[in-house]
Amino acid sequence: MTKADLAGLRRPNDPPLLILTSLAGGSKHGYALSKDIEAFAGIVLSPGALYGAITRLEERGLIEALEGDARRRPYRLTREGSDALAGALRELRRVTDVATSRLAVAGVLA
Amino acid sequence: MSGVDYARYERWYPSAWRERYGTEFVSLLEATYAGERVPMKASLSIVRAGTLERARELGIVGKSVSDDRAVTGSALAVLMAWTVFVVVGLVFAKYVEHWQWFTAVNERTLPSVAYDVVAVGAILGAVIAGVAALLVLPALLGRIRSYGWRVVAAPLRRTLLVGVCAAAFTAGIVTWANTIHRAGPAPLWPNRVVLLAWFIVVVAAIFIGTASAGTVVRRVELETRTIRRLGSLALAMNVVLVVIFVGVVTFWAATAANAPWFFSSEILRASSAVLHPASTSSPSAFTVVGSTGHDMPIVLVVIGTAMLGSLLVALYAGTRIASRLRRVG
Repeated sequence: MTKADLAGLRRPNDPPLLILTSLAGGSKHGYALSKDIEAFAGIVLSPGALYGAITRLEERGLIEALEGDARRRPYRLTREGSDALAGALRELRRVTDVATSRLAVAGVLA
Repeated sequence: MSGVDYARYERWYPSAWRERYGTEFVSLLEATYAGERVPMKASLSIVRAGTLERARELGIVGKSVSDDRAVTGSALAVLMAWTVFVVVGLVFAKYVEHWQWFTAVNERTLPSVAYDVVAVGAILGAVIAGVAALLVLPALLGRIRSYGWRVVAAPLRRTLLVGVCAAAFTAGIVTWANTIHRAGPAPLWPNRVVLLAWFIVVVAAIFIGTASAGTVVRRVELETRTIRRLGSLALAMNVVLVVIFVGVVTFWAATAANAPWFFSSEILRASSAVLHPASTSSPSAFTVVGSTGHDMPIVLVVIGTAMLGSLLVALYAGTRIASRLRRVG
């Protein structure tokens, strides 16, 4: 996984990472994505940020549009999108694992 | 019916983007805001995202943009910075004219050299811009011969419209400024409001003109050789813009240090009295020499800020060109 592959997927609140995470649970259109992200991450993505991220993710081939009605087009993860999300999660997990073990040693976490 | 026209928000985005995402984007706005107005924060986010999408379409931003488009778009960004320099440079030239009258002979060397450097830079920049236009012209004419005027009609019409508006506003301001000189002292705030409005109109005209030029260049399909030359000219223009900026700042600093009274409102009115002898009520030009003056006049602050902002844009675009120029084609 190169740095370019992880662009926009490094921080937990990066819109592309949130969108890929949401689509990992099944295909969704823009409004459903927005509501799902708000529900699981507590982050309200503005329409500009949401569609900016959708545009880049589709351009990079990480998500693809499905046939929908004229006004609502659902998106789903591609194989590359799943790989990118898995890679990003491995990176994030490495940090959280270190933080968890150090806090456990300090007695903050059980 | 809610009465809120959500479709107007998609106009911030370029047409290709609207064609692909426009309908679902408006549908998202309708579902999210359900007839209510879009909050200011979300509106600003849409403006920012739409502007970025337009810049990406022009090739000014974005890593995934092709090298050809990145170099062409960045060259256009440098041209836009140059246009800003031309406009504020003209204001600068008008503002500081007759500076020699108010500066002691033995303190004129540095500002004089700085002023000459700015003038030479302006001429070099005009030559570079002219050569760039000549490079693009054959391809443009060829395209028009093949496909007719409709290829360039819409962007050309837009550019002409905003250009005429900006020119008319400028002419009006110049006429009004001359009237003020003859009428004597006037309250400052209307001047500032009109100046600000003029500045906004001119900046909008420059942005719209650049976007239109970008549309035309994208439709023209330039040869690899031409794109490389445009990139090299844009890099040369970067050097010119740096030189002009340094010249302006040096002139300002030298005059502020040696003849601060030049920037006082009294001296400018006095200068006007010399230029327009009919308004003899103004004080003599030389009665205020030696007074303190204000070395940060609003006009020079606006000029300096506009130049610095456009210089930063040009330097960013220049860096983008330098990193991609060899890969063009």
